[in-house]
Amino acid sequence: MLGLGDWGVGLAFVLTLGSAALCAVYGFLNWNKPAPAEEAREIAEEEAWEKTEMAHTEGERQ
Amino acid sequence: MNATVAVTTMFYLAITAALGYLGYRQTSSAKDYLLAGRKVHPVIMAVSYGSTFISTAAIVGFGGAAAVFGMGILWLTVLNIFLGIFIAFIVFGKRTRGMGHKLDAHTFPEFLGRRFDSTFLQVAAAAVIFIAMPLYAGAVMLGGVSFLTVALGLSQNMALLTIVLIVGLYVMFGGMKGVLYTDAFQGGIMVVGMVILLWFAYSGLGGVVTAHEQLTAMADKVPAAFTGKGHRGWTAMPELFSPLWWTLISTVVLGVGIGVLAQPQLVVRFMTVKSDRELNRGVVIGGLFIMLMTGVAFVVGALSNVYFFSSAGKIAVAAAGSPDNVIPLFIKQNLPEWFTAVFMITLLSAAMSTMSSQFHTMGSAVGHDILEKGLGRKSARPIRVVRIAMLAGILITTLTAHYLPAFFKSGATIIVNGTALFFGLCAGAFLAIYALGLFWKGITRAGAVSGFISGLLVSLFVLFFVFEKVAKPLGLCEALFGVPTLGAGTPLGNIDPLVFAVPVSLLFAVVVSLFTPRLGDAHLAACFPD
Repeated sequence: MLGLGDWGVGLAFVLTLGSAALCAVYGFLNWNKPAPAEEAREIAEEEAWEKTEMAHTEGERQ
Repeated sequence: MNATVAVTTMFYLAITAALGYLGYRQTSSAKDYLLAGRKVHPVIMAVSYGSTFISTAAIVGFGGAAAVFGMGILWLTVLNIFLGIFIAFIVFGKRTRGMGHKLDAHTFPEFLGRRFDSTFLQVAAAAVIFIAMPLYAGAVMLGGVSFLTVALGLSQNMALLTIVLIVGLYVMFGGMKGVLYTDAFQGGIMVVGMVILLWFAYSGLGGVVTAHEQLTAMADKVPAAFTGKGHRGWTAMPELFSPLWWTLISTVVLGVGIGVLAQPQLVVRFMTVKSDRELNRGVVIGGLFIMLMTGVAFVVGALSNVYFFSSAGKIAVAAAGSPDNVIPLFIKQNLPEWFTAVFMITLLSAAMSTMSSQFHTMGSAVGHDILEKGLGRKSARPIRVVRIAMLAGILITTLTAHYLPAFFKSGATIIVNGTALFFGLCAGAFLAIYALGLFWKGITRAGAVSGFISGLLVSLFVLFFVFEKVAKPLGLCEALFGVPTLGAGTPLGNIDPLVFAVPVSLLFAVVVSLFTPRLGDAHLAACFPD
């Protein structure tokens, strides 16, 4: 296969390309996920978190 | 010294310094300094993850290993992409981001400490990182130094000082933003360098399949010393369960491939993005980046045998003298002179992008986890505390890098040894409890602590007394037992510590958890995102 000596290396070669393709396909299919509702919840959490964080570090400017 | 190389290097260093300054200008809080404000662009996060993951060891060290093992080492790339990117981002990353967010964790030790409600774990994990990382960082630093000495004609000490000053300054002042911006720039250079390298290697042999066929036809040129250990040619897997097969599968493929999941400097990247959407997008870039790094290095390393045999009548490792010299010599002999400059910068980028995160992780481990959270030394200026701790880490790493070559007799194996040691320790100590902590509500504080301690002890024991690659140069086993390794003459000496440590750690964590009090429901509700 592909000029390679045995199936073990051939499979590794194909899976190298295949796993990169899997990453690309998964990423593109889920490019805009999570859904807006979930994202809104996360943003609300983030804002609450940020307030606490800023309270800890208020006044600090390095 | 080549003028083109010198000018390109100076230009590169100037841009790096400017990006570090940009990070400094944009840093105003501890959240900025430790997690880049948790609003990092997915492309920057993914490239930074990849370029931190890939150091000179992966390109030169493991590329040279590919010249010895052949293309079977591509299984490591498969694991690097599938486990190190896909599973790491989608399975571990999403859960880590959500849980880290809920627990308000800024660092990996803090994540473990808060998940298991254990200050001991936070401090102990930070201590392991701070003690073990200088060896890994020192090894990576040496990789950068060796190229700076050639590129700028500097002495070893001057090159060490230059690289420490530049990386140290932009990490100390730029914090995580400085690290991420410079990582993204350096990662971009690495992609360009590796794409050009791949194109030259394949086109010079008449294309992909033709190149593979020529390498396959060289199977009868494998030296007897290699065939005796199970080598069956550079395009075939070693004989099943032969010493070479064990080394390839357990140390190279599993050791590095699985070890990446529990690297503190990588895990923290998942906590720098604001939502799971960034991780979904990052996985596209991360997968392609790793394929272009280790995939290309391994293919070129293996194919270099065809080039060296046609020019010198010798296989790559014989022509180059040692595996670490294969890739540099291949480039010097077979690629245009201008590419030498590009490749130097590629390698310098690989070293610096890994070092910057190592410094950042060491500084936050001591400053944030040990001093501030563990010992309760609250400061009105937490960033300053982390900076001072980072400076200590940088100085220790520099001294380690200075004395490493004298300590290890064979300089050629330092980078890979330092990397393997840190990966093994982290995987042994952290992987099982980190994974259980993410997905199993039943793991208890005692279970996590016992998993951590057992994994760490087994890792240390195997590294110092059994694992040939580390035990032999370290000399501790020789001094105590009169033999270089307790695994001599058996396959044990070739098996990565992680193969023993992770199952032991997992077993202790699960069994102890079954017999000890569970963490309270309120605590679990505060940990789990859903």
